[in-house]
Amino acid sequence: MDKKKRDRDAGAAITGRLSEDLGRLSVLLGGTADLNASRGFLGGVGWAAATIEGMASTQLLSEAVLRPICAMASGKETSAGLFSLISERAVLTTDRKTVRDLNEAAELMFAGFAVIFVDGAAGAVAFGVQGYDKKAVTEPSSEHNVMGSQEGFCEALRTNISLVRRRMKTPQLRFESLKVGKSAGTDVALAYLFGRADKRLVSGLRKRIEEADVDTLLASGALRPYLEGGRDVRLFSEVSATERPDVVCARLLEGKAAVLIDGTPFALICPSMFFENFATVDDACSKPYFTALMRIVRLIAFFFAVVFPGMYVAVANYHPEVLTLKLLLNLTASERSTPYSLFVEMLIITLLLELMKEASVRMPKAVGSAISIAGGLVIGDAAVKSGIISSPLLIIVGLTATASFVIPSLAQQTSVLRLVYIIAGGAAGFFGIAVVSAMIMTNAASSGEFGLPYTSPLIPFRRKAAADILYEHKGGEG
Amino acid sequence: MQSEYQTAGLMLCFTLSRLPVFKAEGDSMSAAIFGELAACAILFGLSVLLCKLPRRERGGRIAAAVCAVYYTAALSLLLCETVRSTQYSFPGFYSTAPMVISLAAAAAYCASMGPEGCSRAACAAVVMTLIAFVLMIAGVAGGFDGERIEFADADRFEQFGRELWKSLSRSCELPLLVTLMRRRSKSPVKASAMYFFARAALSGTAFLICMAVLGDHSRTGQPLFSLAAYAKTALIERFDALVILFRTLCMLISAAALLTGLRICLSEIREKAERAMPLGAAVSALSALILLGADLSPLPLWSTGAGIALAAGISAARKGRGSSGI
Repeated sequence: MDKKKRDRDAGAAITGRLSEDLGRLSVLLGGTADLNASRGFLGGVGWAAATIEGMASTQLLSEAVLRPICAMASGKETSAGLFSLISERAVLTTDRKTVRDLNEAAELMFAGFAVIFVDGAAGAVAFGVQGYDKKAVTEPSSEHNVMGSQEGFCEALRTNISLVRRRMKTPQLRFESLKVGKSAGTDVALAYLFGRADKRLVSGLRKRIEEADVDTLLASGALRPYLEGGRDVRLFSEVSATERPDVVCARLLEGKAAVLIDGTPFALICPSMFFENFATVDDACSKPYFTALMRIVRLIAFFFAVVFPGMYVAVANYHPEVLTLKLLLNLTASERSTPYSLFVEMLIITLLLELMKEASVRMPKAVGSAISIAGGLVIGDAAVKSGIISSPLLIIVGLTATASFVIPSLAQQTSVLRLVYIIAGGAAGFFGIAVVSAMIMTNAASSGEFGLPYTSPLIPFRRKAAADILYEHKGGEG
Repeated sequence: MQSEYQTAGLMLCFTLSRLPVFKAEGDSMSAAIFGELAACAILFGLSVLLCKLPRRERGGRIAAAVCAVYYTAALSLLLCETVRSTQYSFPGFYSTAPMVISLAAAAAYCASMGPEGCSRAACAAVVMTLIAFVLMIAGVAGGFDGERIEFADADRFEQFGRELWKSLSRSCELPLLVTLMRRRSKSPVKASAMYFFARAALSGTAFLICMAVLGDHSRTGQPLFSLAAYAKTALIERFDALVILFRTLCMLISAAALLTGLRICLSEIREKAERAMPLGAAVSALSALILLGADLSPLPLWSTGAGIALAAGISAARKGRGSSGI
């Protein structure tokens, strides 16, 4: 492998013959239309600047690089003198690299560098003059808060790195630059706080990122299975995603690591614990008693979203003795008017709910209200009035849907587990629910890919950290 | 290695899943309480002695075979008790074979998640069950009458002796604690102390409440779950669903731990060869039959056997999926 690389590099070495090098560069890039190469003479020596269209800022290139070089060059230059001026003597930009082969030059050009070739010099100088169009730093779209920062990650890796660095002005904050993808390498930055993050965690993550078997990374989620060690049997993920730089900083301070990926506004955090899903940025700004109340509400919401429909089916079909007589009579009266069994009704309405959720995510925003009307009025109200589904069932599903929006980070698990519980409750009552619960609990409790159990700090119990489940432990141990 | 809390939690899961089938025989429920307390003290002493014996990394093939059969027997016992009590509480709802098969398959799945997962899930299950237990106590508080608690009895020593013997003989937990948990627990003695203390407190409270709520009905020689027949809406019937939920949860996690032990034993048997193997297997099979005794009789043997075979098969095929860590 090394020999192959050496041969390739030797074949792509910059010769110093300007026309030949530019021609070979064009061939190397397959005659791509977005390669810009402008040639000129300075002090009698030929030179050329090569960039990729749209990746480098022409204004920055002319004002920060070309204009100073022209001003500093003497009337009569030699190739070696001009190359030395560009690569060593003149301070043009801090982001400057000397390259010796065309492959390296091409990689830098794809990253927004301008590469300057000098006729007669067996090398080239690359200047970081990135100027590609990118989304501005805006409010995060999926993680809203009231009192915290309103900045979210954008899609440019360098900007995202700066968003984290701006909040953590410490030399302990380290970013490791890595590349993922066999055919089209994507830039990835592994961020951690030196001295706090476990060395085994960092080296393990680095290894997994480097070994990721993908062609290119188009979304942060595509890297997630590789970070998790390819364990798809796990219901819950130990890698969480966030759009917020302040969340990344908070997790780095806890000794975790973050993976920033070029082209996506989501950073991945490893390891992530189950109870972190119930914490928000606003919790740190609230009084402890309010934080505790909100976290209990979120835990109840998760329970409602996952288990409640299944329990309702189980109680109504198998264990009516659990209900009070009055409630039981009401339920029986409303169920008597519907043509389907409660179990089938619940399955249908839950699948309809998923359908509407998916439609609301995919549809254009302009037709959002139409879906709300169709979902809320037509499917809900009309279905009850026509006797297809019962009113208590609609209340249960409405409550479940509302509860499921409280914990967006567990949305995938909530949707699937809810259906599993409905099927278990409908098929075998509380017995089925117990069987499914045991399987889910064991699955969740067995996760600990990064050396820290997913259910910690509750199981195994760590007293100080366990208090954080209910309220933000200000200034204490995390 | 798991902490002593996790070991004790796993053992408590086993106890909680078997608690509803406890039978108070004879005339005095108080004798059952003292019998259970005394049995816990004796078993704790024995466990301390056994845990202090020099430990070998790997036992012989005979030991593995005996343990394997013992775990199989304990697994059968758990399955049988769960199926029987569920069918008693909800006659006509559940048929035997699907119940046994689904329980065994679920236990195998739990076991395949690794011993760490089982012990952590056991802690969660125990906490949840205890919360439900407290809610049940609160629910029956209205029917609680202190005057029904009667400690005086004519032949108290004889009854105490009988209850003690019964408590000792139905305790599968000691061998499990010594064989299954000893290898994995950081501090087996501490775990043992925690477990037996919790068990004594739990059983004592449960029996005391039965006595205070049911009075004479508690002295029927019936298992606790069947006391509902004598106490309509008083103690268990209203909470039957909750009892099923939590005892099945605990049972599955205990069964998963047993299957993990079984898998380890089977792998040890496969690796080593000894001439005394047939003798060991015969002895262990005999001990298993004695242990199972009458407990297996009400259930069709084929479904229990098929369930355990299925569970062992799945468990062995999937192997442990414990966390590897980085």
